[in-house]
Amino acid sequence: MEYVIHTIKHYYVIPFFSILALALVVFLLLNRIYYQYNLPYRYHFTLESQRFLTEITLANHDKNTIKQKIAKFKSEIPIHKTWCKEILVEDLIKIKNNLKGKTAKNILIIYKALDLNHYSASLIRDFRKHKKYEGIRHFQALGYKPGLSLLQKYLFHPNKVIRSNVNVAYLALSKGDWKAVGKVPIKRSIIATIKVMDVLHKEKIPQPIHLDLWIESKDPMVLKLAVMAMVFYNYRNKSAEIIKLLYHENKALKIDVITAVQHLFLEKAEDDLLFLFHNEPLVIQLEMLKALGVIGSEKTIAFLKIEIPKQEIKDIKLKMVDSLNNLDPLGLDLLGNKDIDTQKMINHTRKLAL
Amino acid sequence: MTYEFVSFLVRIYDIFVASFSLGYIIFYVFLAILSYLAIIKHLKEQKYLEEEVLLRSNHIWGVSVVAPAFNEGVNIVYNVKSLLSLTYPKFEIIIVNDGSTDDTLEKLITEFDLVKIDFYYQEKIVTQPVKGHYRSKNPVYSKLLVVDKVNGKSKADASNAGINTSQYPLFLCTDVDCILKSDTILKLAKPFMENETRVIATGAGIRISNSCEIKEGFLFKVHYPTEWYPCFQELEYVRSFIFGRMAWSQINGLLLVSGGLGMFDKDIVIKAGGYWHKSLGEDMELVTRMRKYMHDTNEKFLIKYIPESLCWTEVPSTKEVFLRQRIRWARGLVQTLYLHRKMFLNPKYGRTAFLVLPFFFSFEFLVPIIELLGIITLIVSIIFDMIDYQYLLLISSLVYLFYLSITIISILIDEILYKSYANYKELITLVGMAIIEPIVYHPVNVYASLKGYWYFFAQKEQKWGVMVRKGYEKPVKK
Repeated sequence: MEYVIHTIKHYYVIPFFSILALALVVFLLLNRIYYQYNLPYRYHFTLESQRFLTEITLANHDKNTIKQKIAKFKSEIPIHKTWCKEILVEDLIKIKNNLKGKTAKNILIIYKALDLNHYSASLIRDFRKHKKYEGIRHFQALGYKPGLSLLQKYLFHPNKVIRSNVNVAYLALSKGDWKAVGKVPIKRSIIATIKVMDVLHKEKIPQPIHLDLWIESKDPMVLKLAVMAMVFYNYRNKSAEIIKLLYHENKALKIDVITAVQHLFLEKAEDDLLFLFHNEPLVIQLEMLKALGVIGSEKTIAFLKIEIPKQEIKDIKLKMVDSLNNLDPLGLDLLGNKDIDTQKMINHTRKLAL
Repeated sequence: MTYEFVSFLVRIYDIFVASFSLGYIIFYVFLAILSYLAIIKHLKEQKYLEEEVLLRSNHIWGVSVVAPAFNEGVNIVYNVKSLLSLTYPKFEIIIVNDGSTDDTLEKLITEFDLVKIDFYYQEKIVTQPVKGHYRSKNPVYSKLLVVDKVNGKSKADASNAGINTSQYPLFLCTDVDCILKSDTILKLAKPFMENETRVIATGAGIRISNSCEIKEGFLFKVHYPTEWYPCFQELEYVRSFIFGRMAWSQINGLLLVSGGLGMFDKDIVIKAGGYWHKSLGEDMELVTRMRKYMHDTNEKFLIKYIPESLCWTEVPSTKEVFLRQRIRWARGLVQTLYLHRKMFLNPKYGRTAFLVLPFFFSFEFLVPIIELLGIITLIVSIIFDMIDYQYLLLISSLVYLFYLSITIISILIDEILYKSYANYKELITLVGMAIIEPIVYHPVNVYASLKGYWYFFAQKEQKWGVMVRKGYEKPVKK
């Protein structure tokens, strides 16, 4: 006890915590007061910036007038402040997202005239990861093509997230230069897939010339990308190679391949799907049934008519009923007449969407 | 002889308390550092993927929002409209009418043009019988599905019926009266999609809606509560969500994802057996069981927390309702720890066994008991005139100041990141509450915890009680 008292006293523990608590309270309140004090100014600046940028973007000024107006605007704002640059870039991105065609080109002139391109580049060069993400996003969102040379340096960056973001931005800005295909880290995470597909949709990127080679790659990441791209471009020339991938051991890739079979309507895959069905785990079986419900022929109908009455796993049976309902609704009715459980599933499938 | 024996016991207690307090302080400093790291990491990685990209995608995972409702006739229409307004490309809203005795179901049928449908209900988790499923004829409400079931005397049973009904791989469990931020589903679903390791649950901050401006189920402006009990609970929520849970999230040690707002991997929940209807802390119990399941199957997993307030809920504003809630929580804690006692220090369960459960046992379960022993020791010391006032004052001051620092740090983090409060006056009130909390509010909490433990060990009958809602028909005017 004496030792505890001595320690607390000797090391000034109580004064330390008292000062700490007090300092935290003072800091908390000062921080808020400072924020509230600056709020009207920043709010006013945000409004002013939005008004100016919208006006200058939409007005039919020539390049020189735009530059003059920007120079005047620049002299009136605290452009050296980071928060000011951030507000301006975000406003430009918002306007860019809502505009198309020639007017959107003014955005880049403004971006450069305000020197914000250098700000974004400095973010990319920053040693901090999150700053890099931010700079990459600026280039991509604003369609700043001169930024390609800087982005190129990071295409093979060891950090997965940076590499993924740079590759996607590079793809978007170059309108289809798949320089580092295979370096985009598409693994179990679906986010990278979503990002790539978004760029393909948004930027209307032409079909990659090496697509035929990608599908022969041994790297599952490249294969995944190839299958996704083939679905996106509705490219059926390599259907045999796609079907062969149904036998690939990578589960995530297999799901993508089954989806591709369905979307590309690869009827030739039917035999393989039926052959593989019983040896696959539940998740893949469900995907297979979905695909068979679209591409299936008499073989699938016969298969389902045998399987439905004896299937004990309800999730699979329900999906089988759904597939057969797409292919042969009358035949399904006959099955329903013989079994109440199947009839309930039929009612569920047909009446769920009113 | 008696004096010497009592003196010996008091001395033992003093040494124990000093060591316990030291351990407590060290652990909380550790948590503070982890929390800071987790929040920074979250903020930095936010830019990995713009959320608008997810909203545009066809590849996004579907989410079922499950909201049980029992006698919620006053607000149900507003609540459902609020839930339907959530922003996400692929979701459904499942309202489970848990045998309400008021007009909850009738109001839903009338307002949303519902008709009974043939739904193939698979009872993957056993529940009370389901009477029927309803869907709207109006395409505007195509995302809404209502489940009508026999009352199961627990939220767990109703939630399980909702899980059985859901069609998507993820489900978000909430209370029907909770007000969610429009991007809640997106924020909670994102970690499931961006991590290579399987994420089995996500949660986010919950705030108190008692004094907020709400109109027809939509939140207009956030205000600090004006009543005493909600005031203290606000403080508790800030500390718990922003500080504690983020720290646990950083080391993948979360044992609790709130029943008011949590997203789960449906497959794992079903395999783990769903919510346990007899539990009084079903949210904590489910997460514990999910962790156990993942350890048992040797599958790597993550449970993530997001340091953002995405949900506003009404909390008890009277002492009676507050005590009832806290007694139930305390009972839920001891019930869960007892139920999963075999996991303690079992190498099979990794950090759950060696870090998470021992923490909950020592610093959550034991603390009220130690405090009670402290009061007894103090009384005995006064009676026998063996009190060391200097020691008492120093230890009490140390614990108090440490607690205050931790609380202020939580408020500060929240303030720097989110500016949740309307002005600095509300912040001053919050700081004021932090200063008086240990004297005014904490003893009530300790009392409720001890009563909860007593009820558990005495095996008293479990009762849920009714939380009286004020209703949102009229906006709260400020």
